Amino acid sequence: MDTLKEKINGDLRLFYNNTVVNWHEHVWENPIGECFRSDLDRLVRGARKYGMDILVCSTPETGDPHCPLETMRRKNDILFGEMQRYPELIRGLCFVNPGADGCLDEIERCIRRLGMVGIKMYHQYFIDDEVQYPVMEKCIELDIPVLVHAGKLTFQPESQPRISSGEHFAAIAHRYPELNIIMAHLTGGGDWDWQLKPIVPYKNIMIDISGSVIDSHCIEKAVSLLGAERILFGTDGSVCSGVGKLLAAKISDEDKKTILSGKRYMRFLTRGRDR
Amino acid sequence: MLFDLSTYIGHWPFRKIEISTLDELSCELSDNLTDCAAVTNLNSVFYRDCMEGNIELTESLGSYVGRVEFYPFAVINPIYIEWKTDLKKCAELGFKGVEIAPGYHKYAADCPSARELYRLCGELGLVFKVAAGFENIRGRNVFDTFYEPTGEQLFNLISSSEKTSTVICGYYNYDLGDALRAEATRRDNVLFDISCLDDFNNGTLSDTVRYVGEKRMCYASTAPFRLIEPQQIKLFSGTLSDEGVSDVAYKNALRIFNK
Repeated sequence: MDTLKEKINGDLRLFYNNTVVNWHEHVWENPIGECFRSDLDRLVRGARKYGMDILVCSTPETGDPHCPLETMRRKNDILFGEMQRYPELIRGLCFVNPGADGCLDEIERCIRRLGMVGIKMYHQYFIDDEVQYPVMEKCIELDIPVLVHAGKLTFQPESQPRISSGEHFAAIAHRYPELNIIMAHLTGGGDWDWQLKPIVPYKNIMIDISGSVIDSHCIEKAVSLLGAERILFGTDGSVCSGVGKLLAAKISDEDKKTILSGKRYMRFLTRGRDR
Repeated sequence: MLFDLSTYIGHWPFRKIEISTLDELSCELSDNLTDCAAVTNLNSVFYRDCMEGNIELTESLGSYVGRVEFYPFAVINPIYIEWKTDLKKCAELGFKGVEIAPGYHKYAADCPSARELYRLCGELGLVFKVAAGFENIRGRNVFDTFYEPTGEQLFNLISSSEKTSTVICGYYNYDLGDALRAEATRRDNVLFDISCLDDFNNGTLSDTVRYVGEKRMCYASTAPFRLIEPQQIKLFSGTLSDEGVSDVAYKNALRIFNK
């Protein structure tokens, strides 16, 4: 076991010796409307064990398709509390339901007053639905990225009827070429081939590689189609899988470092600190 | 030592898998410091007559000279004609275990024939393996099966014979019911794999330690479908005790093969 442990520790130097930005994690709300603190503490333990420098977190509403402003505010305030508790580690993404009244004001509040660095959207609407247009235009105005829950489910697709897949991202990226958009968790469950194919021409679409799926050849295919500079590291509740899948990928160390640092999106994190 | 209880060769019809031969698999496992591996031929799952795939595996092993010690598993379809004859033949050929593919062969994992197969494996000294599936259910090809044995079906199956050593693989969460847990923890020959579990804020690795204990868990990669290194990260994530790492990595596997 010592040899195996030495090999793993040697491989992990890639994480320890380089900047690691985890672009997809969560601060969850517990049933009584507070931060699910023990869950977050376990995440922080994992982040520290594997040398993660920054966790980009959000607190989305995953159940209510009509999520009103009060819910968004409560969740974003929970996240803000944890940003203050871990000021060096946690950056925040403001969760918004684009169909709720006041969502543009909530974005302004979170970005300008709470120092969040972007927005996070769940599957209340497809990302290319016209209800999204004012939100996308607000993101362009504020020069912030938007991380969008995504997937092409082949099993029980009715469970998330408005989850965005590759073609929805291509449509919104085509409409707003200046928009900085992240298609979430390529390896979060779903047909990742379907996700990749339509977004290739749209350089303003990034992906993150968070999620529990550790399929062989997935990262390699993403790098060959998009290039490492369009790929962000993430875990989304699967820390070991996230770390392991990047280490195992048959791509160059330079590409791995590019993915780990999220070089192309680093400027958003810096600007978040200045606000 | 590292013993991988779930690897495959053969052709997968639903996605390009770059490793398909025993030699290719051996190289991948060796590169990841694996010493022993249970291996099943996927062709056996898809051929009408599973035995043709099982024979292919024995032929591959006959000319194999790699470093990894393979423990061949046969696929038996217990609702296909003459399956008992095939099972006995597999035991004679030196197979170490049997894997079932109920979703592909269209039967419930606890149907009477599956339970009889399970019981006979115990009598023949063959380890019995059942997996939730080969790939994550949410992204499977639409032509693939979406059947995964339930906790109740697994309980019904393993309670058919306590003599049969069993490996249960590929579940993202082993909270599959009190009955299964009670039966599995009453025995020392039922193992649950770690291939789809995770640690920290995910918590399924520590949940499974609580569910069945480190003596009933095993290392498995599901290579070449899944990457190997994430499994090894889990071994050393800090949730398993020092002794538990060895148990999960190889000792529990050796125990069910009476090594």
